[in-house]
Amino acid sequence: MNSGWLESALTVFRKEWRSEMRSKHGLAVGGLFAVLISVALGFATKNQEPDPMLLAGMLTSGLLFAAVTIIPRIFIAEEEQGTFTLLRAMAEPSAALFGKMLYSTIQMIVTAGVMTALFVELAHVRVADPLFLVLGAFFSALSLATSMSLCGALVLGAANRWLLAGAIGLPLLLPTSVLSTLCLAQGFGSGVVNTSSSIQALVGLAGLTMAFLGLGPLLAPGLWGVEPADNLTQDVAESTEQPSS
Amino acid sequence: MKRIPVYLLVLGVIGTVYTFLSPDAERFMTPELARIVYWHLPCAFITTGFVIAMAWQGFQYMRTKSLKVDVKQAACLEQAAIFAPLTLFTGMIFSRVQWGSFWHWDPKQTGFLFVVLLMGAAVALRSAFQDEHKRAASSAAYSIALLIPFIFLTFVYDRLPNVPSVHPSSTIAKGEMDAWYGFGVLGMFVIITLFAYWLYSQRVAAGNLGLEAADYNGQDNDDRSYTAPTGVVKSVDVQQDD
Repeated sequence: MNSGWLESALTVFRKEWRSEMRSKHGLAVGGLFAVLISVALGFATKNQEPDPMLLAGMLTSGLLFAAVTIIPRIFIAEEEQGTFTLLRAMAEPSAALFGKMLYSTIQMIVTAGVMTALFVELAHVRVADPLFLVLGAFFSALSLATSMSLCGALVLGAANRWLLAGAIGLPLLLPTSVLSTLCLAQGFGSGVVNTSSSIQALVGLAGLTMAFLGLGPLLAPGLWGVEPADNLTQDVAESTEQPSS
Repeated sequence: MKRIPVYLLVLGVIGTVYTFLSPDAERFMTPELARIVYWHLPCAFITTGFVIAMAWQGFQYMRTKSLKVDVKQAACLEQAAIFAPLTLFTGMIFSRVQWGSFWHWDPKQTGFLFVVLLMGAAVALRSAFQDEHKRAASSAAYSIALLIPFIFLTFVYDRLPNVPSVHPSSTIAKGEMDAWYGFGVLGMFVIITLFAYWLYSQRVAAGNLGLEAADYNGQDNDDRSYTAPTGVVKSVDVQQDD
């Protein structure tokens, strides 16, 4: 990894951040989705005291569907706005994917934070171990964001890509959801899960995050570099050309 | 080459007869139905083999960008997509006769259900692309990526603490199978693997022929300026005159 590559990745990250801060559309929709899921889950547990394992499963399911809905947008929007070719011309595919992965992790961490706080409040959940709850939500968000980013990158150019991103993403996220449930259950005070297995689950989530964070940029040149360079240059010229009238 | 299916059929018949001649297994709730392991175990091993081979072919495609490698990868995926549900269904039968119901949410059983879903997702991804190089690249990347959840679901999930499993996972490693069953499982594994490899090679041959046909058609038109006799050359009014 050289400094030019890292600079390109950070440039892509800054571009994502600025474009998001300009419209705030993605943040608003993501935030609304997080609130809706939390309200729905809170309503489902109204006047009940569900098992901590069940609560952890519910929160994990919420995080899972939030990731499937929010993260692919970061990639698919480029193609729908016609700026994907420009992005590829601006940075190496691996740096572009890494920059977008970084941005998606930030967005997912914020979403997971909002969802977890709302879920705890609305469902009147007793938090037995706040550290594990926070760490569980944090590492789940990281793992979900990195793996869904790869799925978002995979579906570019496909038919029905919004639907496809979810379809290929959910099976890929199953290990994350299992480990996340174990970890969050410790946070909610499950007697079934002990501290050592929760620590194992945390390490597993960190490992999955690292695996997808490393795998994404490695696969990106093969994924996004399939067109000849001449076509790319021509496409960039066409996409940046101003209309004459 | 033409006789290979006949040889495979003969081997299959011999294998099936052997499984019925073997004595009933001990320590089973329904001892005579324990014979399902002769089919279940080889299918599971073959699925694992094809998923790993698919990831390897995906890696090879990323390196070479050759559509012939993509044909091999697609063939691996199709074989895995056949043998994964077979493993699941034979496992469900095993579960019914041994533990009393088809579905137990046993981690091994659930893990393989997720493997079937992964294969379904990989097939869906392949079918979503028109461009053959984009299809090959996305499919190759997904094949490599799905190795992470596959390894977790197959080798890690049922061994996690607090995830109890009734599925035996060390019968072969500990040498707990008797000679009849050990030899039978090994023999059926060889027979079904040969059959699976034959299917795979047929699929690869068909895929390569498809690639060559596509190339040949282009040359044919260029060399002879030949136009096909079919196709609309003049518009025709199909409405009847009043």
